[in-house]
Amino acid sequence: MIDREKIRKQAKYIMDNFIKALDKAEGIKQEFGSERKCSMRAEIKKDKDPEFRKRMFNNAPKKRDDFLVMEKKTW
Amino acid sequence: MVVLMIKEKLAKIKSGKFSAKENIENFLKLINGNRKINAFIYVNKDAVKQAEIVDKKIKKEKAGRLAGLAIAVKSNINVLDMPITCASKTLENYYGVFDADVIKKIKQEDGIIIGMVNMDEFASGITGESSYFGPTINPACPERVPGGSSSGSAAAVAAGMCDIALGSDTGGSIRNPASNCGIIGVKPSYGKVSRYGLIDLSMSFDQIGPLCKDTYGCALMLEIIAGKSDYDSISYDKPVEKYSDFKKINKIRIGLSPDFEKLCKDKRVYDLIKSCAEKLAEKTNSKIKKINLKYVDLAVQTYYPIVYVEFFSGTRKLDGRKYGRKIEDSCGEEVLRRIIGGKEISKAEHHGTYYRKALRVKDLIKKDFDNAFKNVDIIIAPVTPSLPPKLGDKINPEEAYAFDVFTIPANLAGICSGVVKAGKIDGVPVGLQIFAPAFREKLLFDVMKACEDLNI
Repeated sequence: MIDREKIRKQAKYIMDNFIKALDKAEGIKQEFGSERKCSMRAEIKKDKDPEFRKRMFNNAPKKRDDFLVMEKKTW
Repeated sequence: MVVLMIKEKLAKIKSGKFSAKENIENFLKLINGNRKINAFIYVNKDAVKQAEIVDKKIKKEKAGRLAGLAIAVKSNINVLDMPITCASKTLENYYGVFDADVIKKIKQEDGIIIGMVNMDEFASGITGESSYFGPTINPACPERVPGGSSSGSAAAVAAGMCDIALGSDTGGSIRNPASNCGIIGVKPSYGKVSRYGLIDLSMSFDQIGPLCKDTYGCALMLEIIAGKSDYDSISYDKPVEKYSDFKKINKIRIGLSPDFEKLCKDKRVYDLIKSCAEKLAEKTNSKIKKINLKYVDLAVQTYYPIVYVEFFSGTRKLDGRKYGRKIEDSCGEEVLRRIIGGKEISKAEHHGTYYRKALRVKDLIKKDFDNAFKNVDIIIAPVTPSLPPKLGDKINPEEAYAFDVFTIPANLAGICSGVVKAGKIDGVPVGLQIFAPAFREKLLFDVMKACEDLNI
């Protein structure tokens, strides 16, 4: 059984140490950003794979008839 | 069985001296006869039939550039109707519903997907031991770990169970196991290969790349899988050169960094790398120049906060509703650490403290490399700071993360990097890493070939 609270504390401890180490980087206050001028892509027109829905549906853990089954409260 | 290099084997297959069917059957015998390596999670039942179809195409002289070669695929790359498990209980019963861009290209060139290979769970590991399907064994040195996360890809190649394998590299996941298993591996420049169909670990760094026993095989595979895709907005429209048409290297400037030397825990590793660099320089009339990489010692500390946050974000789709199980309820410890850690440090109250700060240092490390490449053509470095751990050794997370100290910089800088054999220390394979500027894969492969020809 994994102790989640122990894992959370350990992860936070590692991250805090790592971030503290980054303070020594000079020039860290410089602005940064993407070099790409355009990040928009055109809409792709593609023929639909008629089998896609069936394949995807086969991966569903719980299903009934043509529907996925899941408890509302777990959403 | 005679082991043929890729170029030689392709020539035999295309001339009809050796059939695609024979090639696949040989590999299947080896895979099924040696399950101890645990490289494969799934073997393609239709592989022989597919090889027969390729043989017919060969007779009609209509076969593609990978005709009849057996390609093993890491279990985080989507292949239609094959289990895409990410080596996790979470996706144990998930089958690919489409082909990733790289798989489409391989199939178009008549490569045969021989199966899905083992890996560290969700590509989150450096040893190859964290798979839900059990650890992968290193065929080149069974008492040591094969490395990760593309453990099965490297082991399958090293054990002669496929011609070429695909892996993914986020912080060294192709190069680390290639080094440990004594084979060749390449991480392409960020944006060189479409990630469409790759189950992501960290969107800022992930790249798919090849592993093979020879440089030619890696070069050929990258020629095929590289290029712009409409389905991956970060893939670049840069020309894909003929990497496998090697050009002889002469009078280049080779960079070696004392900053890497300081980070090397086992000095024998650095000495071996340095001596290989000297041999390469002598053979190619090149010069070795010292370079400074001021921020490279912060690579691990920069990389992990970004990976934690992006992995947490990327795994939100794994909620167990449409497919698989809920990840938090079914994954192993390291995966859970990254999810919980990523959730914690991406809280609104920490805005600008972790992720954005790490992105700023990432930018500084990239500039470090940009400056270095003004003075040198390539940089040579170790792959790991010491020999791989022994199988079953207990390593704490920080020690494990530090194993990627020499591979992470290439992912942070977005440059390309390849691993070739440097030699052995105490009988353990050690790789040599070559960095080249972003989108200079042609230069990278030419240098890798020159290293291969040193016959170390």
